[in-house]
Amino acid sequence: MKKCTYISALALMPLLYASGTLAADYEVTGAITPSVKGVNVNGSKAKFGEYTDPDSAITGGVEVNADADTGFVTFNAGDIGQDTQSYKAETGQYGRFKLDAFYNEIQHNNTFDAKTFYSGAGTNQLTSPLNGIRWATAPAPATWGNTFDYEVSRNQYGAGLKVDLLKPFFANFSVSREDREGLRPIGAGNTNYAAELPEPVDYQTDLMQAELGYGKDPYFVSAGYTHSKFDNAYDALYFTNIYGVDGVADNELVTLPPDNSYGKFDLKGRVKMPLKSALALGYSKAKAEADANVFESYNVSGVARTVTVGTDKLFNGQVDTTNYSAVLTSSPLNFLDGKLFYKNYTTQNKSDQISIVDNGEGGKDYSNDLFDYDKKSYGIEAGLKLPGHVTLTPSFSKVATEVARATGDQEYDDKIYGINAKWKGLDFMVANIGYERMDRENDATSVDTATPIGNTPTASVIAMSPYTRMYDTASQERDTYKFGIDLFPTDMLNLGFTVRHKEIDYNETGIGLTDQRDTAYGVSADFTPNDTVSFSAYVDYSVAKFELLQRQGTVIAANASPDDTVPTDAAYNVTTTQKDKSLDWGIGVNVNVIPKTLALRAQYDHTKSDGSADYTYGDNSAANDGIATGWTNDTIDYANWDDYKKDSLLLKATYSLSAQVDLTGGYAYEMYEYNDGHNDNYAYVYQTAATGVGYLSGAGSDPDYTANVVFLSAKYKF
Amino acid sequence: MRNRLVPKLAVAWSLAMITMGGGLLGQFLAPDLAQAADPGADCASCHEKSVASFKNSYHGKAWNGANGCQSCHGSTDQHLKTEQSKKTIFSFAKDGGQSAEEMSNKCLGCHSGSKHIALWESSKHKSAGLSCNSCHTGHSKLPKNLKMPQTELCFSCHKDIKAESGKQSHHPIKEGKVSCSDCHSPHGSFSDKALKGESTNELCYKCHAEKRGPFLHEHAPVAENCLTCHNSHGSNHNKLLTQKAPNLCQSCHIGTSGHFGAPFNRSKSFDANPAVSGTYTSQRAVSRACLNCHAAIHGSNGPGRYGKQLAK
Repeated sequence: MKKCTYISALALMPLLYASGTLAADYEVTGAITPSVKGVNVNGSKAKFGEYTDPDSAITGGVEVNADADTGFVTFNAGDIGQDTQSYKAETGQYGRFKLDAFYNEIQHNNTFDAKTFYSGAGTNQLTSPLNGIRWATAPAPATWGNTFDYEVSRNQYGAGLKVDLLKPFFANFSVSREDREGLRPIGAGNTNYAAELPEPVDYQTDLMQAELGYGKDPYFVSAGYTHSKFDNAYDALYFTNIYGVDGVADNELVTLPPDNSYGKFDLKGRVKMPLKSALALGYSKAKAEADANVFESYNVSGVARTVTVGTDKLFNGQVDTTNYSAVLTSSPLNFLDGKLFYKNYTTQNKSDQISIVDNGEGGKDYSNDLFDYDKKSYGIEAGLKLPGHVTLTPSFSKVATEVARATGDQEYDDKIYGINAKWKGLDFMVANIGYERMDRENDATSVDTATPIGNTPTASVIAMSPYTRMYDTASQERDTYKFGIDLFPTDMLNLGFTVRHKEIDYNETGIGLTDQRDTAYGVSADFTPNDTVSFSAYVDYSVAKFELLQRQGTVIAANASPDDTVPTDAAYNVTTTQKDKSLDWGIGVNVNVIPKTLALRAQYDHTKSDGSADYTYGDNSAANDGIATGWTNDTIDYANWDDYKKDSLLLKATYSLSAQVDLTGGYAYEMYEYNDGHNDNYAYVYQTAATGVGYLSGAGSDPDYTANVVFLSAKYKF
Repeated sequence: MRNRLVPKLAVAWSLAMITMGGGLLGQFLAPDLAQAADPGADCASCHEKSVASFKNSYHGKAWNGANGCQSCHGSTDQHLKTEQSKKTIFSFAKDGGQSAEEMSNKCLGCHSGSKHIALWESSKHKSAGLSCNSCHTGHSKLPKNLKMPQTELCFSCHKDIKAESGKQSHHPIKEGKVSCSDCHSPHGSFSDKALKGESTNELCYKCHAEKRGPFLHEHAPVAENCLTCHNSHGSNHNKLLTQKAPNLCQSCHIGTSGHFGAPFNRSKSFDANPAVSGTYTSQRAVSRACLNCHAAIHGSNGPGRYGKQLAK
C-alpha cells in the first residue's frame, strides 16, 4: 500500500453521517472527483515532482458540505493516496464556533537513486566496507551498490477550536504535530576532501497556540501563548572516514540540529479614538532553549583529538526575545491619513559561554560567541488625497540596529525616505510611481574571524579590516524606483506594465560586496473579446548583478588597501561580477466551445535563467594566485551559473456531461534543463590528485528531465 | 524510529468525531435566526446570478435567510421604483461611486470586532487605497470569502512575487502547500512586510524549527535574519539563496590567500577535473561549494575548531 489508506477511508465518514439519521435536517452538497494520471518521465523524476508525487496513480478528491439550521459540517480530501494528500474536517456554526481537524502531507524530493559505498543510509551511522582502513581514493562508482533517495516528507496533523459564542469575547486553541522523515545531503568534508553523505531526517515538531480576546468597537485586546517543541531523533551523524590513517578506525561526526523548545507570550490591543484615529499596541516575550553536551574528544582524518572544556561541560542555550510595538493612525481630514509607528525588537543570548581549547590545534581557544541583536524602528507615513485623483504617500523611518559580533558590537542606523504616488485620473488606467532611498551608516569595520587559529584573526585579516565590510551590516546607499501602470481601455482588455530598479552602493566597502543592481520588468495582458474565448499572456525579465572585491596575496598593513592599484605578486585585487538574468513568459487561451458544456484550455510557459560569474585577478603571475596552470583570466569565468530552462505545456478539456457530472482530461508536457559550472563533468569521485580527494553522492547533480503526463478525472456533484 | 501509526489513528479518530459530533453539538447551540421569506426574491428577477451566488456563499449560509441583499446593498426602494442604476443602491462595483473607505465601512459594520482586522487601520493595503471588496466578496463560497483562490488573488497585484515564486528554487506556493497568508497578514501587522511573526526568523522557525537552536556556535547573520542569505519567494540558486555559493559566502568571508580570499573560479571546479585539464579540483568549487565542509552553516554544537567553523 503506497499510503495509509485508512485515512482515505475517512472520506466516507461524512457521507455516512450525512446519510444517517442525524443528517435528516441537513442539506448536503459536495463532489467526488476520482482521477487517474499517467506519468512518463525521462530523467530526474525527483526534480519533476519536487513538491508533488511524480508517479502514475489513481487518486482523487472529496468535498462534502452539510448545512443546517443547527450548523455545518464540511469535509475535504485532496490527492488521496498521493504523497501530497490532505484531509480536513470542520464543524460548527457560522459566527459562533468552529472545530477543525486536519491531516496534510508535504513532499520535497531532491534526488532519487543517489548512491554511496557506505552502508546505513537512513540511520545516523554510516559504515564503509573497509572500516578502519585508509583508502587512497574512494572506490569506483561502479562499486557503490547502496542507492537511496534524497527526499523529505512532512506529515502534519492537528486540530483547532475557535469560539465566538460569547461575543465580543473570543477564544482560539489549536494543537498540531509535524513528523518529518527522509534524507537530505550533508557535507562532511575536511581540509583536503569533501564527503557528501545522506543525513537522516527524523524530526518531530509540536505546536500549541492559544488566544483569548475581546473585540468590540472601539476596543480590541487579546492575549496569546505559543509553545513549540522540536525533537530530532539524532544529535549527530557518524561516519567512517575512508581518508583517515591506515589501520585506525576513524569514526567521525557531524552534529545535527539539537532538540529545542520555544515559548512565546504576546499581548495585542487597539483602541479607536476620535478623528478617525486608532492606537495599536503590541508586546511579546519569547524564550528559546536548547541543550548540548560539549564534545571533549573527536576524530579528524584518523587522528584523535582532545578538547579541554571549562568546568561546565553542558551547554545550556537560551535566547530571549522581547518586542514592543505601537502604531498610531489618524484620518482627521478627508484628504489626510497619517501613521506613526515604533517597534523595538531585542534578542538576548543568555546561553553559556564555554571555554573550548582544542588540543589538536596547538591548544588554541575556540570558545563560543554570544550574539545579541537589538533593533529600534520608528517612522511616519502620510496619505494625501490630492486634487486630480492623485494619492501621495510620503514616508520616513529610521531603524537603529545594534548587533553583537565576535569582534565587538556594531551599531548602524538606517534612514529610509520614501514617496509613492498613485493616479486614477482616467477611467481606463491606474498609474503608480514610487521612490525609496535608504542611507545606512555604520562606522564599524569588519573582521572575519572564520579563521583556523582560534579566536584570534590572522595578521592578514587584521591588516585588511579597515577596508573590509560585511554586506549585511555595511554602510550603504540604496535607491529603489518603481513604476507601474494598469490599463483597462475596455471591459475586454487589461494590460499591465511594471518596472522596478534597485541599486545598492556599499559606499564604505573597500573589500567585500561593493555594489548590487537589480532590475525587473513585467508585462501582462488579459483579453476577453466575448464569452467564448479569452487570452492571457505575460513576460517577466530581470537582471541582478553583484560586484565583489577581494584582496589576495600576502597582505600586510602596508599593502592591505584595495586602492593600492599596482598589483604585485604579494598583494593584488580580485574582482567578481556575478549576473543572474531571468526570463519568463507564457500565453494561455480558454475557449468555451459549447457554452456551459465544453471548455478547452491551453497554456504554455517558458522559464529561463542565464547566470555568469566573471573573475578578474589583478596579477596571475603569483604562485598563489588561485588560477590553476593552463588557465587565464579569460578562461576561468563561469558562463553557466545555475543556468536552467523549463518549458511547460498544458492542454485541458472539461466536458459537462450533465448538471452533476463534469469530465476533465488533458495532457501536460514539461522539459527542464540545468547547466551549472560547479557540476560540469560531474564525478562521484571528483578528485584523485594527492592534494585532495573526495566523493559525492549525486545530490542535485543531474536534474534534467522531460515529462509527459496524461490525466483524466470525473467530478460528480451532489 | 518513532511509532507513526498511533498519532495518525488519533487524527483519524478526531476527524471522525468532528464529522459525527458536529451535528449533535449544533442541536444544543442552534442559533435563533429569524427567517426571511425569501431573501433576494425582489432582486432575482434582474440579478439572478448574483442572488444565486449569494445563497450559495458563506454569507448566505451563515445568515440562513435572516438577511437579504439590503444588508449590504442598502435600501432598494428607490432602485426598484425609480432609477435602476448603481447610484440608487450601495454598489461595490468599480463604477459604483463608493470610495474604498465607504465600502470597507460597510463590512466593518459587522466585522469591526474581528481579530483578523484589528490592525487594519495601520495596514499597507489600507494606505494603498484598497477596500475589503478588493479581495473579498460577500457572494463568495471560497474560504475567507475571497474573490478567487488566495495565491492567484495575491499574484494578481504582486506580479514580481509571482515571477520569483516561479523560479527553480521556491517554496511550494504554486503547488498549493504554502499560501501567502501563512507568512503575511494582509490586514496588517506590527512587522515590516506585514509578516505574521515579530521577526523574519521567528516566522521561518515555525516551519523550520530545526534552525532555531540556540546552538553552541551561532552564525551571526543566521541568528539575525534568514533573509541575509535567502530569498523567501524564490531564486535561481538552490536553497533559495540570494547568490550562488561560494560567492554568497565570500561576500562576507573575505580573508586572504588560500581558503578565503581566492574566489573559486572555473579552474578549480569539476570542469578542471584532472582527466580534463590536468589541474586539480577544489572541494570549494564543486557541487555545494563551501557547504561541502561547512555543513552546519545554521549553527553547530560540534567539537573544537571544527565546531566553531560550523564544519562539524
